Amino acid sequence: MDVHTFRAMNTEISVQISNDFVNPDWKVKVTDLFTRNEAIASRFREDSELSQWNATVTGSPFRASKDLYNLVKEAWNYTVSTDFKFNPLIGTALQKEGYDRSFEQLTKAQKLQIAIGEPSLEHGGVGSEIIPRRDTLILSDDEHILVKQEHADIDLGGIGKGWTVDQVYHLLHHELSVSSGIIDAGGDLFVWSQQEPWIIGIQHPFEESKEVMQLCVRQAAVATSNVLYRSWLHQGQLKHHILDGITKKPVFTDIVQATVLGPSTTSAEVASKVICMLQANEVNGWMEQHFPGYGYIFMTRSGNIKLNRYVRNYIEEMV
Amino acid sequence: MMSRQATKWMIGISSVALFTGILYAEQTVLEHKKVNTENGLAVNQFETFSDKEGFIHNEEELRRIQNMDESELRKRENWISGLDWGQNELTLQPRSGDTNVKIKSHVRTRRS
Repeated sequence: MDVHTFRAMNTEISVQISNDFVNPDWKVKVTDLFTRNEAIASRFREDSELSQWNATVTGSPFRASKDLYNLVKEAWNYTVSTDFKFNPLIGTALQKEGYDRSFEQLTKAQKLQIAIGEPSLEHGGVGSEIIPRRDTLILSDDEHILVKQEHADIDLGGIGKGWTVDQVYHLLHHELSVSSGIIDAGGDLFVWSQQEPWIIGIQHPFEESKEVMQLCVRQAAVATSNVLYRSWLHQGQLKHHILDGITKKPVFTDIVQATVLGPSTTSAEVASKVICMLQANEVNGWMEQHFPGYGYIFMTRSGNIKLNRYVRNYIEEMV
Repeated sequence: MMSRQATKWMIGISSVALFTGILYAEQTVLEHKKVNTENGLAVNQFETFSDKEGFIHNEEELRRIQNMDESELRKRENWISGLDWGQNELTLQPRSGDTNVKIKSHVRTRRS
């Protein structure tokens, strides 16, 4: 296998491809995709295109590049299809919760190392009295015009990484004909193989050196979200980065981590985040309605593991 | 007239007996297929795999699975399918003891 690792989007990216492929430029092309998308879509970079849009007056049209427009459009499609549970208009709320810089830059005092709060904890949040509507964001395909009707910054952290992984897969498999590979963007993955299946471990949320289980997968997108890692104390209150898109507040349920298997990393990433907003007994029905056919594996605070039958569509073995 | 009545009685009783027999047979099959939990993992009693055989614990077992012939693979597939996936959701209890499995993963999915 040929391996390429580098840092982008505040995480370590690792791409492995089969040796039957020869193209000296593949590493440069892959790196370019990640760095380009980061330059477009990071809210932590003042010079990013997203930051420029966030700085515009609410209600004024913003002519976006094709890439930013397509990413925002995809994010908004998921916003509508998840009934606003997933919502990129949480940038301002995240900043007010204390997540105003990349997580790695939060000080040690601000970070919470491993927090297992009780679901009944009171969690103050900025909240939102704005009822989300489809026309909160207006998109015009003709000229890539974006208009925000709500005074809130856009945050694409919940979708940008997965979207880039999907683009890299398309580049490697469809354009460059790579037969097997793994694209790992800090834990959000796409794997494909025409030979032996890949063994994918699911990291344990409470003991990160260990794995909950392993899956033998030939082709799938896999994304994991949890409420423990990106947690911090802000004004004496426990916060984490998964905000309910409707209330704009961190949600604390009986689920600590969710892994989703699906046909694209973008959609798997969105689904894994929303599962972390739900109670355990809500997940099956919600996923059947919003992401039919996707497999999920989640862990509750008590350590129970729940998985649905569609996991079988993506795995050859479970270890 | 007597023979007609007798015929009717015979048909009626035979039908009841047949229906009862079908119910009994179906119940027997369902009892076999009931999924129980054993050692915290779902085990289908109808199949012959035990928890030890069903779930892989090390590379040797993985190789054994990979070298299985078609009929053994089909049995195993039936066992996995028999884990009551029809209930839409399966619950696994956490492993006791060492949670570090012995097969090395190619990659790990984790919170990003």
